[in-house]
Amino acid sequence: MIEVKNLTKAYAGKTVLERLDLELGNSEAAVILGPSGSGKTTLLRLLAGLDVPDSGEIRMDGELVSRPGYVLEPHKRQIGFVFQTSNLWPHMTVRRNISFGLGSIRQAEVRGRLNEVLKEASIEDLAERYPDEISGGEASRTAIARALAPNPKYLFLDEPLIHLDPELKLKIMAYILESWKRTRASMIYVTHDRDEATEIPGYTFYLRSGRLERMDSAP
Amino acid sequence: MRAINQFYPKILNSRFKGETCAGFIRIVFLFVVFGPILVLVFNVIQKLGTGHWDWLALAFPTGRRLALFARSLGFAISVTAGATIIGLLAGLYFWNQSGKGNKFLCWLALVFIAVPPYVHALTWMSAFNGLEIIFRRFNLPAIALEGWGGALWVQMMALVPVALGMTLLGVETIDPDHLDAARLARPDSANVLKVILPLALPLVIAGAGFIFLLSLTDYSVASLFQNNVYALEIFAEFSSSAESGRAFLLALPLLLVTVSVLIVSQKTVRKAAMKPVRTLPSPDRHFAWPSWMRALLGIGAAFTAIAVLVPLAVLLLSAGSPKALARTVTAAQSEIGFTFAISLLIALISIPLAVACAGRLVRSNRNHRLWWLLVTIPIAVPASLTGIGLVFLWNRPLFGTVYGGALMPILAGLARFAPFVTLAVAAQLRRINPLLLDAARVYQTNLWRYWLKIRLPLLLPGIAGGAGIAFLLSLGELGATLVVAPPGLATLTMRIYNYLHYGASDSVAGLCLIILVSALAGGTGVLIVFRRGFRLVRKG
Repeated sequence: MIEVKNLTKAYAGKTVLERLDLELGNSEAAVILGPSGSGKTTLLRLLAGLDVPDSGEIRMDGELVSRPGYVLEPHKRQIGFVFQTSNLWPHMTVRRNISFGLGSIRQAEVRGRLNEVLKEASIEDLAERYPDEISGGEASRTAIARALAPNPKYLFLDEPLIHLDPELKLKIMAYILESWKRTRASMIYVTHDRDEATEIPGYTFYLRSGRLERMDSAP
Repeated sequence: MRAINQFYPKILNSRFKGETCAGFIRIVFLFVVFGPILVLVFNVIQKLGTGHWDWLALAFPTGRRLALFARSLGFAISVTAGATIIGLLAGLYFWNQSGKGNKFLCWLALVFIAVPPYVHALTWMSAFNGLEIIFRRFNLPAIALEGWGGALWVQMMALVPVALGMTLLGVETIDPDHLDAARLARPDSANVLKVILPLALPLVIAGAGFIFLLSLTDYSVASLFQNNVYALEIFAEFSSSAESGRAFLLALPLLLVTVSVLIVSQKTVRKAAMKPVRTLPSPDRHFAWPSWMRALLGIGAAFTAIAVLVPLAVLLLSAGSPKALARTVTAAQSEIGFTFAISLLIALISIPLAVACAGRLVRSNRNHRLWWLLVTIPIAVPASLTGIGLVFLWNRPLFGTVYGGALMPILAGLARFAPFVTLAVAAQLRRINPLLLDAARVYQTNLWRYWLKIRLPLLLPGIAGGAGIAFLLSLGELGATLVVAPPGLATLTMRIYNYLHYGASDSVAGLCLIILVSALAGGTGVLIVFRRGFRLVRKG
């Protein structure tokens, strides 16, 4: 469960998020809609522990993970994060990109989990390739596979389809939904595209003037 | 449509004129930079043709020369290893710090890149002499700064700022999103080895290659500690035989090593991702590294602080009273004026040469590799060899006015430093969004407007930064100037170097202080220009 209370964040004197509240239960999904520059990415970065809030707090499963002056390290939050660009480490193969987050488990388990994830993402053939040797769609699949590999409790997606063509968008969206249903992670999906937002079965919020407005609710 | 038809030939015509002009400037660049070396090659061929086959033995060192070559290589490798490790640790330390004190120290270390190594040598000698007096007073055994150990320490400390600068450049060019992605997956300590270092490595390796070249081709520090190195042997051979071809053949093994190192390190730079683009505001990034790692990095930072603060303190203390300093400045007025004038001219003349060649480095065709080699190989040529080549090229009755005048040190500076300006302009060109230039080409009414209104303002940080680097390096240039300076005209560094052999004195410290202050002022200017450049291009 994610609980956000009174969250405020400003950059260079400009307030991006202002006393924002959000609650999301286990295995639930939420879409956050909003125009460019409305603070969607900032919200995800704060949830992931990549930035420090100016005021307010974030709790995950009741545990305080962020407040001004304290941030639980990102890798301890059990988060899967898909960035706007695939953001794969250029010096690692697809296999090493995906297995990087599995560092704390035994080698045999890593191999098993890796093969499973590669198969689910239909990228088994690309395992030994480097990011500059694969297409945009394949890179997106790899990025999502990397986020899902450690079986995260929370899945954050920051406009993951923004740079893809319409046909590829459909395929990758299907893969995201299928993966979410399988893992039952709590998912926050950020986009500025209303059509994309309707694909996600969950709460829909609109980020306006630094605050979230609920648009509709999940069944 | 008719308007476009009338307009297009104008553009094509002006572009053709522009290309012709740039092509001519590129030929001048190649002549200035490669002329001195090519004439040496021709001289060797000519001499071999007249039966001097015994000269070839010089290219294959044996006995004493082989031992000297091996010792010089060992010295350069040790300096490179030490300086790179310290610079790497310090770079990571400063990168993860936000305090004002650390930022100041980091700035000071970076501008110290412009301080010539023999100034470091002088200050370290004075510092150890002072320590010896203190140690004696307390009946403690003195630590002597002499021989190879002394030369190694000084050369290493002098080159730590270069390694620091290249490490910082390496980590700053990592895409911040790659770091964020890593932080989500693993602890920060693991990310240093798995993500940060591998991504910064190309520029760290390039820095190490550069340090190796500087150590192998510089003889000033080693000779001040009474050690002979191979680079000095080249100078000595020319002085004793007055045969440029012999000096060139003797330098061949050294050139083979330096050019090979340069080819390897420039390959990594070409591959390095140079796109510090961040559209989001700066993140609140502060890596939570474990205490053992913080301590290790802190040791690197402490060594860097010593490398910078000791020379600074010694020079300030030894320069004497402001009156004594003023006397020193007055006595060296002509050298100071001459040095600043030629440094300024070198910087200014380098600009058109660099701008004309930089575009060739960033083009993605087959020729760009050749151009990378053409621009970087001169960096691998020992300074004294450049000087010897220039003497051979211009010491002819027809060019009497060139050879006997102030133009020789300028040509030496251009041959040595125009490649650095070209690299700085090329780096800036690579950071510019190509769409901005494409848009300008679409709307241009004539080529000059396109250059003056669009291309030059976008290139300005690279041009100003590169020219600043050339100016600073020229201020401290010694190896080539010593060979080519005409009688009656001496630079500041020549005066310092000549004084040094008679022992350190107030006047030497005063003159070094002038170079140091100029380097600090100029280095700060270069840093500001580069930072502004980053911002300008980001906004673009």
